[in-house]
Amino acid sequence: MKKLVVASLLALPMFAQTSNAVVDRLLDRIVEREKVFLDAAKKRTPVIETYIQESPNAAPADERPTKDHYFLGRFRLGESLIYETLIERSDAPPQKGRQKSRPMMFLPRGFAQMAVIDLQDFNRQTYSFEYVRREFLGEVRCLVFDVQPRNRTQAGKFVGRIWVEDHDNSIVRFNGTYVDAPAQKGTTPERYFHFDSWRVNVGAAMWVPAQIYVEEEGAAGEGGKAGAPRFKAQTRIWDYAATPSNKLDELTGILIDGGSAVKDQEASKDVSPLESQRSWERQAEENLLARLEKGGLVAPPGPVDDVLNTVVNNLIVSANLNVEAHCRVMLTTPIETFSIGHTIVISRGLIDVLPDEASLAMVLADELSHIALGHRTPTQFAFNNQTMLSDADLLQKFHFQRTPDEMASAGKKTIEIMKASPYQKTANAGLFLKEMASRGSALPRLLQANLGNQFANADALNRLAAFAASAPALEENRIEQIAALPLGSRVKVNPWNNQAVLVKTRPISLLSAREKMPFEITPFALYLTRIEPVPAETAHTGQ
Amino acid sequence: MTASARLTPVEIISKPKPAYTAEGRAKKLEGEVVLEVQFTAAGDARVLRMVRGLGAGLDETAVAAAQGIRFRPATRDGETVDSTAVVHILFQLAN
Repeated sequence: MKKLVVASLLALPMFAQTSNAVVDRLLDRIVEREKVFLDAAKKRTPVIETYIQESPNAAPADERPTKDHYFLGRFRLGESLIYETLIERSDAPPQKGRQKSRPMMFLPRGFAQMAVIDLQDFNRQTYSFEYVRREFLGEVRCLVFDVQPRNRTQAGKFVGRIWVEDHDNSIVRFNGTYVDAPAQKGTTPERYFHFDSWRVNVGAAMWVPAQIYVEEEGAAGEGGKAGAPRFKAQTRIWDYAATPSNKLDELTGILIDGGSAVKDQEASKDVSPLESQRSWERQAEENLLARLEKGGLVAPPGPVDDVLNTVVNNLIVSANLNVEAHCRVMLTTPIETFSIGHTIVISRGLIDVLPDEASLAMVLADELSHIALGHRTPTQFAFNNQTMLSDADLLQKFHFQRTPDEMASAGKKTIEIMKASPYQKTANAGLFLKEMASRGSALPRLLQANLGNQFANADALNRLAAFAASAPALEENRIEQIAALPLGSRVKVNPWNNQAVLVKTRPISLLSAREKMPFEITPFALYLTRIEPVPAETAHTGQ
Repeated sequence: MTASARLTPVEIISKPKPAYTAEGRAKKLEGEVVLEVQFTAAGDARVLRMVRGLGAGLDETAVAAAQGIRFRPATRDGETVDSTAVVHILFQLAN
């Protein structure tokens, strides 16, 4: 049996035999907690999104991605891992008979597997543990262990490091890889990647997988065979227990009790044909948003919406638009926006990469223009059966792209709205458009909308050319010029209830232009905190 | 002695929709805020006093809603005059 070195425990004045017993109990507890987690996870089918950026093997100094892949699905951890594909945007599968030049394919199921250390055999008979040190991850004090299978050739077993929080001994992070299967002639082996898997606290002693970072250096191919790609990937998991916000309908009104001294012409209650039409459109909007929220695609109303609504209100007031508009956050990474009725939906990925408030205003103004111009939402969604779809069908059926004519007229209106707005310093907004145009061909899957309008296509850039024209030339090597931020720069999502909040980071000055990383994937370093259990809301007595 | 004066009532043109507050919604507060409001000759709706309140921020939104009532003032012999009425601001939830 491998010797356990538990420095902090051995520092106490106790006999070695006693300390071994303490360590044994601790390791048993870690294994037990992981079992409890796996049992709880069987009841959940969270959404999982993986976005991959490949860089060329040939030029190791240049990390700029040249290719990307995107997967969206749901998974369940049972006896085995069950993965359901919702969206798959990657290279086409290779044709049979051309095995030698077969490029490596990414399997979205493989990224889901990195949410757990070992589904079946995470126990002390299979793995040895070696204590490393204590460490804080954010506010959470952790015990750190190196873990490896006792049989080091057993394929699929985890080898790496685990961080265990010190209250309940739940695993909160693990970092390493799985043991590769030996290569067999005539077959293409499945390769395991290196990953850094983080869990977050979502309730009393409940830590769930939330974010996984994967990185591989790549290798050149030999003997005419394709090599391994050099890539980085971010996997995000959410929608463990989200329930659609239970919107409580409200009735408010004013009655004036003045007898014959007041004549209230507004007292009539019948609904005019125009009001009926508006109500019908509103019903379609509410049905669509409720279904998108239920499907884990749109966050429930929250603090990020408030920030977005402030910007939209500034635009409405300054341009004297007689419209009402609200914002919601789509939880996925691809850069997109769309509007449904009076609601503007903007993707988390787009909010993440926007360099400043003026750029955000430009993006929101583009959708606000559709609302101001009265571009309609399909009203067939007012029929409730139209939104009774599976998540996969929903992504097939829900499309909110505008027609080229609508896009063109909205482009003109956007420029009008922005001219009247308080957001006059639009140089960064223009630079953002230029950066997107520059990266567009390398990152098509990041720029491909799931449901709405592709913000970054040639048409969009032509429509908003006035902003690009007002911006200085794009200088990628100039450290002061920030045209777009890395992914994950602004919004974080609670994986349990899908609530989106703005990240609070310290401003850090860049050391080189390489650190700008526009639209790029970076490792995760979560500031872990514990969540106090929220007391159940006092039941309404109706009195 | 003069002939009786010719009076026209206050004519309400539009009334804003009072907004629920997050606190009121969370506490599931329902009921009405009752205000005594003066519809002035100058066209302003002035809240004279609160007859009954609800709390949780609903009193403030009720006052704001009352002040947002648009009207034509009452007249006496063709001259606009102040007029007072009791205004009920209703708050209900579909529980």
